[in-house]
Amino acid sequence: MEEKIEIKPVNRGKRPFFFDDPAIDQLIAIIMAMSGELSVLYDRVDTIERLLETNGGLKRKDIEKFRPSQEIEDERNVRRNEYLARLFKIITDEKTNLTPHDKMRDYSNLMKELDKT
Amino acid sequence: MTPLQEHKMLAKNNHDEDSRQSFVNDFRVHLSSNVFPGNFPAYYKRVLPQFLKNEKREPKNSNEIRKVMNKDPFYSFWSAMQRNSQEMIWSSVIDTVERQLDDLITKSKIEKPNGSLTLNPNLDIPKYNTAADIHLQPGAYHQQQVDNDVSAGAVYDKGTYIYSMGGLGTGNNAMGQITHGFFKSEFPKKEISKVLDMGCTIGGSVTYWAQKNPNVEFHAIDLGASVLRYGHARAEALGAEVHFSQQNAEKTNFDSESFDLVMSHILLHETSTSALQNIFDESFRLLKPGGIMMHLDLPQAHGVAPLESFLFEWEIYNNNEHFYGQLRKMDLVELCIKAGFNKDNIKPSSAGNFWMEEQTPYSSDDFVFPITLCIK
Repeated sequence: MEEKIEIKPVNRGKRPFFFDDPAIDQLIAIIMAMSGELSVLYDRVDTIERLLETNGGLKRKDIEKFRPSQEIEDERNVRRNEYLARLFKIITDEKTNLTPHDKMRDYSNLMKELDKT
Repeated sequence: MTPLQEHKMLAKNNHDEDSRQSFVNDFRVHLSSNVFPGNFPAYYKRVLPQFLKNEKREPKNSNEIRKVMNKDPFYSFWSAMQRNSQEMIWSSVIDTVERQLDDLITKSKIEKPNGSLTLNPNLDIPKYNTAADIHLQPGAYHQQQVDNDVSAGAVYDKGTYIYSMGGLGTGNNAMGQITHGFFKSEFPKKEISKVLDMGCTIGGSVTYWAQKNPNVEFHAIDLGASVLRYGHARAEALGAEVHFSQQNAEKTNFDSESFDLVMSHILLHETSTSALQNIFDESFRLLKPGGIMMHLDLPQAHGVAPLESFLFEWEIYNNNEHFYGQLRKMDLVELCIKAGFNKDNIKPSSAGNFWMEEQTPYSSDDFVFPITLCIK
């Protein structure tokens, strides 16, 4: 068998780390790689379900041959976005909590008012 | 994700690679639409008030904002994910290219091409290309790991499409569509017979121009042999006649006063201060009297608010776009004058997606690219 050509997998240039402990950056990379693979697996299950539904059985090569139509890709796109929204919920919650922060004074005042009654 | 337009050189995905690339695309769309906007409240509600308290004044520029934002947990998380999504682009397409590289190399050898390919194995690759891999593409645009390598081109074609989240158009030629639409509108009567595209990589833009103007002689140069081999075969597969050669845009072997139009598409910000002047000098030398220089690049910093500037500059620090920081502050008109252009014939312009023929996911955006436009 011919030796497989390997394209250099790492880029040159110092990698920035965004957290004080680079392990956090590395963990994020691992989590996103896993999240990507889960999404790939979901698509594969979806392909298998569709093939089974249409053909009543399947051969492995049918999976390889399958490519989503635009309609199916649109469905998958919606599902991936919902999936990503669930993954990032804790981050986007922070964003949402940050946004109305200027209302906090009104809220505190309201609480004080309520305390009086 | 809408797939790229099929052509003979495009590496074919298997089932899971197709799905993986779609995930990376959707991940990037999600980051830019749903996560990135959180940087604004993080700044205004958390980082800025702290800065005002400590310094008793607002930050003066993007560098001051960078120092404080780098410590903000929201910005850090978004940055870590954004960087990661960029790395995932390349890892999602490298497997696909590796698997069929032998076949792609065979396909890249065209027996009777309409255009041509001239390589120069002795060409010195300047430091601004070797110091760091632009856009984190492993090995950058000039790597050669096997004889007749086309991998950098094949990876670039699929990777940049995901990078742009489809914004480059299904023909991977949005920049060419923009300059073409702009040029035809700006110079409706200008006759052109010979055109040079500098820093063409896989020739997405110049191939589009050649398809639209089959009677014009198109030349395209780049530093990387791999992207040129791929670009040549890609142009042939798309029926375009383009003459590719491996040359440095700072000093080419073309005759003086031999071109009607010398252009580039987002090349300038990948070079250096001295290279930029050399490129303008060389453009001037190559143009016939009355010829046009048209270099499209990324926005400059003049008149941009510090926070917007800081966010825009993320790619400089985190996506190996090192020279862009300098370019943002440079006076390009001055460089054009030094190159020999008459001040009255320098017309800084801009063009955006509204010049595109094709509707892409970002067609409606009002993002515009500045164009350094001079008439000799």
